[in-house]
Amino acid sequence: MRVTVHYFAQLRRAAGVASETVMMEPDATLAQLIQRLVQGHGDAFRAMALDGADQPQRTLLYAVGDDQADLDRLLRDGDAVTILAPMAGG
Amino acid sequence: MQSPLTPDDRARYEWQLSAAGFGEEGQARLRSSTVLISRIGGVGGTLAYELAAAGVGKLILAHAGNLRVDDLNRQLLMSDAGVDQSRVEQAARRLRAFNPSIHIETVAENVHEHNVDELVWRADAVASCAPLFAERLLMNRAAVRQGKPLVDCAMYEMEIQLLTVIPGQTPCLACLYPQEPPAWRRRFPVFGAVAGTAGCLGAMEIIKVLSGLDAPVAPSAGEARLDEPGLGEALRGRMLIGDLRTLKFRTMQLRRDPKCAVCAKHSK
Ligand SMILES: [Zn+2]
Repeated sequence: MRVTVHYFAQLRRAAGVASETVMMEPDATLAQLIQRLVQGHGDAFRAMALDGADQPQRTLLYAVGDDQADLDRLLRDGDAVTILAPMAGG
Repeated sequence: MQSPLTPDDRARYEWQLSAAGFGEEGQARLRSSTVLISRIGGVGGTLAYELAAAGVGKLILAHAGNLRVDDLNRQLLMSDAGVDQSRVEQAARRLRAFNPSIHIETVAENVHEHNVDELVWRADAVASCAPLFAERLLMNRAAVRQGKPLVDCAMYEMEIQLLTVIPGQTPCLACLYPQEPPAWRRRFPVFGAVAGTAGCLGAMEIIKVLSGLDAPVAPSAGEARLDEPGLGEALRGRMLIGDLRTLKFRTMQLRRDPKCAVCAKHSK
């Protein structure tokens, strides 16, 4: 199945693209998607996307469509996933 | 009841008094309100400017340190001659000159563990515009505990994020970020116009929340009409995500964390 991913803030920099489309096995979870994305990008992306135990970061915000989603969320063909790295004021 | 407006108030705020759902009552509410603004840089400075323009009665500005030359691409309350001088004093001077009818209080320190409760206690709403997560999470915790609305404004490069926390009703900042994000760095690229956009949007959220324009359901219930007093809605449980590179704006529906260490026991 086909999933589109949109990156924001530092994660967009680390990914080097604002969005991309990836093919996943049916019924893949959001967590599995993150692991797949890590394989396709460099160390900067890995450092932001995964925590010390190589699990997807819980301080990133994830959305499927316009709804915030948990990492165990099952993805469906055509889903648009947004991953937001934290931002701040200043 | 709110005191009536003076003739000076009516003259100064004439352009906004006729806004649907606002009126003299909304203006009087703003005049009797106090807003704490954490950091008056690119985001908070612009937000403070707009709240001063709108006639919020008292602004408490908290920001430590002196102006650096590299602040000047975004910190509009400052001046070139003010480099190496107190940021918060410059901001206060500019705001007082701009609108002498409101009160400006300066706190020459950043919000921290030991001043946060007292500062939030003195305000009716909190504008969180700080670059550090620790500070934003502290303000969020104090605001939720004290039942004060908080607007959190953030930016990165040409992107902005905005979130309004209504304690007991919406997710809070700690629902989204239970701990300080490890990847966050204090210095990041940004344009002043991006910071200012976040500040202006944040100011409008505060104006809505304080003046009664944040009313998801029209007071008379039933059908919502544009001219219905009170119609409007703050970013309750939604996060505004804006990309000024492409001018795409959207909102993301957030969820409360039922185990949130800050707001879980303050639910209604
Ligand atoms: Zn919470």
